[in-house]
Amino acid sequence: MTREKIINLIGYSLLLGCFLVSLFRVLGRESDDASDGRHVIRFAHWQLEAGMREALDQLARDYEALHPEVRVEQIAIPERTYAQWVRTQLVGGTAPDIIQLGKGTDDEVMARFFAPISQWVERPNPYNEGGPLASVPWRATFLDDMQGSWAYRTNLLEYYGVPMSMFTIRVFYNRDLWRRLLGDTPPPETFDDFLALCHRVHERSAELGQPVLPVAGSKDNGPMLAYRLFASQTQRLIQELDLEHTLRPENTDIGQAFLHGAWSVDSSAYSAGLAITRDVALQMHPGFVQLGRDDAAFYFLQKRALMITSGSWDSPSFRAMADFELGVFPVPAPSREHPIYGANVLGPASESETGTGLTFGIVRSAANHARLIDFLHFITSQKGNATFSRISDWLPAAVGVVPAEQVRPFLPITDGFVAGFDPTLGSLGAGTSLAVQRNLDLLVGPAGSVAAFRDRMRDELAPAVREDLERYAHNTLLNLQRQDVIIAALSASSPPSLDDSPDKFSEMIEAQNRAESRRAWIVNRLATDPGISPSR
Amino acid sequence: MSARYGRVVRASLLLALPMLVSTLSASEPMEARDAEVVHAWERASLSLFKESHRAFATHRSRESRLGYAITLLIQQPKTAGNLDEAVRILESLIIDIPTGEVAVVARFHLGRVEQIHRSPPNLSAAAAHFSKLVAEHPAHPWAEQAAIKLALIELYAPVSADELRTRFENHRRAAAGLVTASARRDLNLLLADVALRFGLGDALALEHLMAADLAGIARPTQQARVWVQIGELARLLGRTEIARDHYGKFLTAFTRDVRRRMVLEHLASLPPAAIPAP
Repeated sequence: MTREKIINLIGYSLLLGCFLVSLFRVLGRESDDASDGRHVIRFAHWQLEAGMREALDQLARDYEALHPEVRVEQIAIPERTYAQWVRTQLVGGTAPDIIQLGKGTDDEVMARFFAPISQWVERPNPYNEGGPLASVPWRATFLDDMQGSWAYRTNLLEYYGVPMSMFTIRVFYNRDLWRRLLGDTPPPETFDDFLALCHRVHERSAELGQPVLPVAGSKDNGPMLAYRLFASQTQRLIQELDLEHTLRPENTDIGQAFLHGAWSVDSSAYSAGLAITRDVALQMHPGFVQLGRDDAAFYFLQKRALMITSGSWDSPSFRAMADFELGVFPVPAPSREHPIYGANVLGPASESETGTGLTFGIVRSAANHARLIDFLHFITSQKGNATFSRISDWLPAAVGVVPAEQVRPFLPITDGFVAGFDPTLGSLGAGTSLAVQRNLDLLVGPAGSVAAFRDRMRDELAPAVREDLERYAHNTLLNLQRQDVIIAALSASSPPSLDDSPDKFSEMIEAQNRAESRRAWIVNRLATDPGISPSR
Repeated sequence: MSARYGRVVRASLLLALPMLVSTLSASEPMEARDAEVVHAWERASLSLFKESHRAFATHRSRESRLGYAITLLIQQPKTAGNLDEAVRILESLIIDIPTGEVAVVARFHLGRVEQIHRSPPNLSAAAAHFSKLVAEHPAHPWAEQAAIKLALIELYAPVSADELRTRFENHRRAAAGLVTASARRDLNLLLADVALRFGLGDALALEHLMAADLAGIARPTQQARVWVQIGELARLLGRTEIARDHYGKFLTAFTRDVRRRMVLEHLASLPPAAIPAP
């Protein structure tokens, strides 16, 4: 036997070995399912934060106690690989029964691989029996009426998922370090208090010879603080641009208004937004726009920064990892009375439409949907969601659940005004976001300035906005084409009625005609845009 | 092991099924074929376009050919050949039986091919299809949808202010004659959009928003938007009772909307309601 043949034989043997091991594992898993005769419910998610797996595990054990014939298994997948994992499992037909929605699950995937749950959402959740939500439709037992983007898919006009939590942005601080640097100073209630304490941190850390930054920043955490403050400066401007009297113009309206000169980079609101962004950015690490989220968390947890701005989702992890006491306060925006920034402000921004998240959907090919719905009923009942919130330290999504004391500071602030737009014009599109991000150092760097950033934006913002509006028009067109088929199909299944009862067909054509009118308006305005084209 | 054998059997059945279907299709009863066409439409309604297109392809009824042409329009990759084939099928459906239900839907989609599928779009060709539908099938739901698509083309075309006003008046008259509630709603919403966006007048916009509201708004987010718009326009026009009424409806129905505080402030700024005489 030649050397080449031996190598080939080894290769084939290895391949066969791998195949047999894989086969054994797949068959082995099936025999596991049947080993104790119980029905198995598997659910997958990407939440590896501290407390999350424990909270979901407790719900699983509680459900098993109520239903001894069922075994519940959770599968926690790292966020970085979750989207690919979900797609692979769905296409390969090996997906678990219930999957957290939001990564790797666009409309096409939802339609193809997930089961709509619309038929259940208008009926009460049986696990709420005996409580105040006993006769309330399941949909209305959630704080957002299940209007979160992964619970209700507007393009498909179906409910697909049930949410478990909601998220707000807050400033976290190190209480121990705070006391050492600032004594009994209370958390700031005004923007000026916030800036003053940042300056005191600089002074005190220099006095003590202990370098401490006021705020830990990164390309993710920095904008959470700075862009909220920027948005406080465009609150009045956005109302002036409200051509359609909705009190809340769309970001495409803001973009079009910019292209047609209704506001510019020289507008006082935009300039004030840049100025306040620079004010707070100077309290962060120089060059923070190059850092990632983990870097900022590291600075904070290593006591090299007094504060960090982040979402409520980070609270349990910070509590688990920090060897100091945590404090939390809302982002302190300027009030109407502020001598410099007050003129642009209407008031604190309302968080009342804070959407829900951690949304779970049922895989279409899973067996026994009734059992899976029962499990989802259980974990989203008032009692189940209270258990989840208590153990995870995340906000609840169910109506009437009183969160634990340490979670209360994250409850949405509901009395407030419509927020303004941030430098990315409310995430108008990739072009605008990139133009801002690419040049942000000109604004927030130690050698930067409002004028330098504004001069750059004078050249770069218009082409970026135009590009984003063109992309919006194109994407809307693709959606209209898909909707045409769905409308024809709905009409063929049940012909369009002449009565006034709203139904899925009526909702779909309303959604399509609304989107088409907005698109036509954008195309009309782009055709008459006096500005430059992206190619220039 | 039984599970594995089960999979083998299922796979064999799947392979054999298309052959089975093609054998039966020549002689199967009408009801059975119709059920499969309905199933194909149901798949399309769930965005399963590839599957529904394949299902339509296995039948030759008029409805299947219509479904085949409509789903062909969004098959990937999108090619000029597919567009031309879809047009050919749609046209043949109209030629074969010009007055039937299938012909109406086919004409509508011929207009849509020219309006949203061709690149660049041929808007005059699209408008011709829609105008023909409106003229030949008054009160038909698809013809009333065509009236909206025609209005979209004509009202957003870059024309002079005078021409826009003329066109606007024409479509106002059309809106008044629509019988389908959803079409009445959508054409009135479109007219309100155009009145506000092109500065044709707040009073006109208010009139059309109220007509749309009366026809019945389908989606909650749109309902909130329309009630705020009506409240705001009525307040600015001094029609305080209308403003009060619609602000009130909004506040009652939308307890988590971020506009509540502003609506409350605007409501409080209205002059006091007149006390009815005893």
